Amino acid sequence: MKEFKKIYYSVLSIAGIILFWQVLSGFDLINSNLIPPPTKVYLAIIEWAKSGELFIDFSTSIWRGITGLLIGSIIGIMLGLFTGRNQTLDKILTPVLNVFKAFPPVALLPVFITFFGIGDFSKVFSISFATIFPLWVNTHLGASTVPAEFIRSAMLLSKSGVKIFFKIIIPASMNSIIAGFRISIAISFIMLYVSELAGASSGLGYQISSSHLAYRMDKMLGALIVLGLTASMIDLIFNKIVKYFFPWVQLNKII
Amino acid sequence: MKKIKFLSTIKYVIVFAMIAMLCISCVNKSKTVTQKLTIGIQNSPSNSLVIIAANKGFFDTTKVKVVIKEFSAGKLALQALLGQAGDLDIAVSAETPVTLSTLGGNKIKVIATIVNAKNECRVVVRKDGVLNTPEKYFSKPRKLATSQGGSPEWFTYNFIKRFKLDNNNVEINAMLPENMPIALSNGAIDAISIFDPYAGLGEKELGENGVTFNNENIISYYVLNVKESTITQKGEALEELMNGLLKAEEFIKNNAEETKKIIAEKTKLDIDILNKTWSHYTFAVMLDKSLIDLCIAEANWAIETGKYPKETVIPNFKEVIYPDILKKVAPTAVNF
Repeated sequence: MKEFKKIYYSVLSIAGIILFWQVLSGFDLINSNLIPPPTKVYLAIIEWAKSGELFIDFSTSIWRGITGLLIGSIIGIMLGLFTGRNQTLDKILTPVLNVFKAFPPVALLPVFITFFGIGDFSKVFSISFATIFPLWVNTHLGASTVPAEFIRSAMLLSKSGVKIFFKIIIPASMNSIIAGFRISIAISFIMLYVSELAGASSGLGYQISSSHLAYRMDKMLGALIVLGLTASMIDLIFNKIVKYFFPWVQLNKII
Repeated sequence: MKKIKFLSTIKYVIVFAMIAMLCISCVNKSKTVTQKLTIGIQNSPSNSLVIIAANKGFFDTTKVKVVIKEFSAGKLALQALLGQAGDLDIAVSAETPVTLSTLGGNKIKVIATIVNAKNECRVVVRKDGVLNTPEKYFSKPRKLATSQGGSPEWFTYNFIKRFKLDNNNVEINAMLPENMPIALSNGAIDAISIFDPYAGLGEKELGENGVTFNNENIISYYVLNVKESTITQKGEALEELMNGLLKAEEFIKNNAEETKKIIAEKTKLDIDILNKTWSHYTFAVMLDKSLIDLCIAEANWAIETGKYPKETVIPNFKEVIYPDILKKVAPTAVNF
């Protein structure tokens, strides 16, 4: 019932926005050349799907985005766990990571292209680079603030550091790791769009840009909506996975 | 009593004098109403008329104050013109973005062309042995970068058609012009199809390791785009701008070397590249019916390549051209 109510309110709010947008267009309250009505955007999406390009653009972007996100997440989580639990590694790695964290990934794109070309590798690399840092920061925070009594209690049962790491440290850091991961999902899609501007022949970001340059605002908005829905869908799937594997994590308290 | 009367009289004299001064200043102001025109340009040699006119003070009149805003591409200036913020009064762009934006339902007017450029767009490729013709070079799969939504993309389409290249061997990648020379030189891409100065920079980066393919049949125009409301509200200012551009045209004809120095300094381009490419440009303020024919051809291209659905009706491009301002200041420059 709770789930049904949630879906009901979500559908209602989205339908309300679409209706409001249609009304604004219908009464010429917005420039329909710059912001076409929802009906036109819908037809543009259908046209895009019928040409077969939607599937190619969608699958290309999903592959790039998820691969980059997973690689960046693994690296970010590992770094966060190391620096959060080991003072020596923290002293060595944190200053360096803080410097890299400050580099705007968008500005580094030409550098990535110089070294890695314009193929999928540079795009996945740039997405990974952008997603490492939110996860590193959040994981570090979670790992470094595990209550001492958890560890002391665990040590009464086992002296194995590895066991304590996997059974106590990681589960206790989960709230922070998941918060970092959800931020990284959003960042990965932003970076996906940016990387597809700098040399691409397919992808959702490419489609947004090329439609905009051809003054096809209907198709551009359609591609934007598909990109947004894709990111939301990934976030939703992620929440389901977290609920299943980590039922103690309080998702409603994380963003 | 007499004192009160005297003070009262003085009071009236002072008030009258103040009103008189106010009226005089208002009259003086209305005699010299200066209208501001903000013009968006791509900082490149194709905008030499505007750059020279600004540099030499040909825009400095009592009727108009011209402010120039720079963009990395003319199509971006056109987007700023069409935006709701009203940042620009005029945008200078190639005719391709004008065609696409008109197909998209946007209402703009073209009041003049300021340059026609032959061979401005070229395909610059990384040498591959003896594969030194377009047909041979593109007989195997290659990555070609171009700038979408503008004349390079139109040029690329014509290049592929003219040399009957296999579309499967030409993977077209959208890229920002400023990233192209480096991407070409480090092998990220095999070829670039772009206008100057980036084509020239790509040639310079590659040196002997590069080959250039031309398609001299393709001409691009750079046009002055305005909104209809600007014609109504700032018609006189637009005429003054035209006069300034006509003076710049005369200056460029008679002072090519000085012009190139000014343009090289403004665009930060190597003077050698400029010397090499200068003959590609014909700087002239004019309107010719060939512009309409070009827009129609580009509209057909946009539909053929799927940018617009097959059912799209090609607009009447004659309605996009507004010759009256140019006719007033230079009637012989209008040819249709």
